[in-house]
Amino acid sequence: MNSASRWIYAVSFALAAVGFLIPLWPLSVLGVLLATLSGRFVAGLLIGLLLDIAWGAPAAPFGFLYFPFTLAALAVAALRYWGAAYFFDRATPDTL
Amino acid sequence: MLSSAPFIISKRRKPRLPRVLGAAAIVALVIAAWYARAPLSGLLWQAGAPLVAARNALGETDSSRLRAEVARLNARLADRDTLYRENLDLKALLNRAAGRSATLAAILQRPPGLPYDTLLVDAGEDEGVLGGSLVSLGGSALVGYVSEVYTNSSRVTLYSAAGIIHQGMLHVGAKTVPISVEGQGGGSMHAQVPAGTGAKAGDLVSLPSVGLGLTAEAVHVEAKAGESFETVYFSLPADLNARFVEIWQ
Repeated sequence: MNSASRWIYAVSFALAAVGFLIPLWPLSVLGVLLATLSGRFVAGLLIGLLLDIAWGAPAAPFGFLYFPFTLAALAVAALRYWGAAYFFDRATPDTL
Repeated sequence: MLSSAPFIISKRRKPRLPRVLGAAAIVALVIAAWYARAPLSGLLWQAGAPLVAARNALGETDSSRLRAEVARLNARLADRDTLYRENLDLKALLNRAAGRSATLAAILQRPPGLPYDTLLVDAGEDEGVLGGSLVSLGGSALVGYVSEVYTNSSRVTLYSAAGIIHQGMLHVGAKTVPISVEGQGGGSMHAQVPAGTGAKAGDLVSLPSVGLGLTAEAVHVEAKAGESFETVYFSLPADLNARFVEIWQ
């Protein structure tokens, strides 16, 4: 694990935790997004899952989402996976 | 000839097995969370309880405590209003209707601005106020009666005025004891009750009628050994710093 990863994990978890404790859910969403958008899908999903377990399912009319933070992490992970081809130049070699 | 284009000597493919295992673990976790959400949530909150308590303690100020107290009292008031309505309905069913109308009056002067435990309110003859009408600070908390009526104002004598005696019913648990409550001035009153009555601070005194009307709240009981009577000290059932009173018709 490199230094950047360490920072991203720590900041993501801290954001989610602070959002949970204040409580200010957008901050928690930011934590999930940061982890997921930076490519740490597993961390994003785990934080989302933890938040969903703690806060429970949303009330109607969004009750059907059931695991909204986890789903958000999944959706953002999928977006990043497909979007990466358009936004990041993966062909550029950075190693010899 | 050397090409200027960059080239890759090696690009290792990441092994697929750990990824598959990771994905399987996440799917398993989600399924577990799906089926065991409630117990997991309980565990999480239990584990986080000290943290949440610390957060609550940090965010607690006098203002937040008072807001919580106001919310609690509002809930109790709502409960009281419901019971009062039910009480009136029951009395109406038994042909003892205790409904009443009231005139709202602003308090112009109050103790210590006025002596003798009296209030000056801004409703008088023109507003239909009659001498002897009962006065409450809202709801059933009676504090006195109209002693003098002027054209546009009235004087209200509080039950706590020195020497004023009114008959009341002291509610001690399920028991009701008839007592004579005597004003002492300064918002306080006292009464004698037989020893062994079991009166205690917080007991209420109501007027002996079918209409609900609380006039005093016990704040202290003085019982001396060997005496056949105890002295109960009372205060008015509401705070006189209110802006308005209701004059019952």
